[in-house]
Amino acid sequence: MAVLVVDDSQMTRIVARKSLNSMGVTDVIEAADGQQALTAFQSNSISVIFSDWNMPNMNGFDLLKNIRAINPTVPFIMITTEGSKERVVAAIQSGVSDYLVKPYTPAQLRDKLSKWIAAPVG
Amino acid sequence: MSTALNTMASATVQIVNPIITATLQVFETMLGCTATRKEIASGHDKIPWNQVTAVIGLSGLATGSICLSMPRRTAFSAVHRMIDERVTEVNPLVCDTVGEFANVIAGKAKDSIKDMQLELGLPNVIAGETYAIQFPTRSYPMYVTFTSEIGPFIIAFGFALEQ
Repeated sequence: MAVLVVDDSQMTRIVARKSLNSMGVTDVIEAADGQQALTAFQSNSISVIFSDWNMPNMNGFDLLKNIRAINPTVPFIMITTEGSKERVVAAIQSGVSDYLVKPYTPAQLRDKLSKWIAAPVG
Repeated sequence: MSTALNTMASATVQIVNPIITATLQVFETMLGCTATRKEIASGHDKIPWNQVTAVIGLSGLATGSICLSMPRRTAFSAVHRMIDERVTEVNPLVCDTVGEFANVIAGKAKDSIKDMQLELGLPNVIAGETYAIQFPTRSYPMYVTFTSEIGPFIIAFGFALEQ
């Protein structure tokens, strides 16, 4: 199972990768913006996407639109600093599968991963 | 405080408590670290900037910035706590870490002041010994000093209502 982690913060990607590794997910692909993520998605078999929303070059919303044009069902979990109800509702209406609000704990990341994949995690 | 100054300061003052609350929560969740608020003060010229400062611009019904400023050692300790790696110089990972903390603090504070309809910009990070950060005219900048297990830091911010 490959998980795609998209965030312009290198620190956030490292923390997510380490957390996923500790849950037994060894195939973690990192991208620093939506454009890199789209390229990675097209050349790998991705099971779940965790993506930041506010990024340079291509933001999370535009990445989502591009991903949904290719694959309407792959779990796309939005990671955002802004947990307002309006923002979350708008994102889900746009095709986001789920969301995670920063700052999140490794347990919250594991819960989201478990929810969107068939195999048990951790 | 005069009426004119009250009006000028109102946008900045509205955000003090949301910023403090967001800062304490972010340090607790991301670093497992209890931060303690110390001094709250105002005055652009008095802000005690440290060696690594992340600036997040926000715009909407008010325009301004939220800055997280850390001494080198505090920033190094933050990196160590996050990924268990020791750093001894201000490198891109250190700047990225301080920028991400500022980003999360600003995002959480923004959620508490929805009536300003603010949009977050991307973080910019300044590293050095001597620099100045400009806040909008009429913004009445303020700063809050904190202590924590990883060292001291400050949050500075200033907002002006759009005319």
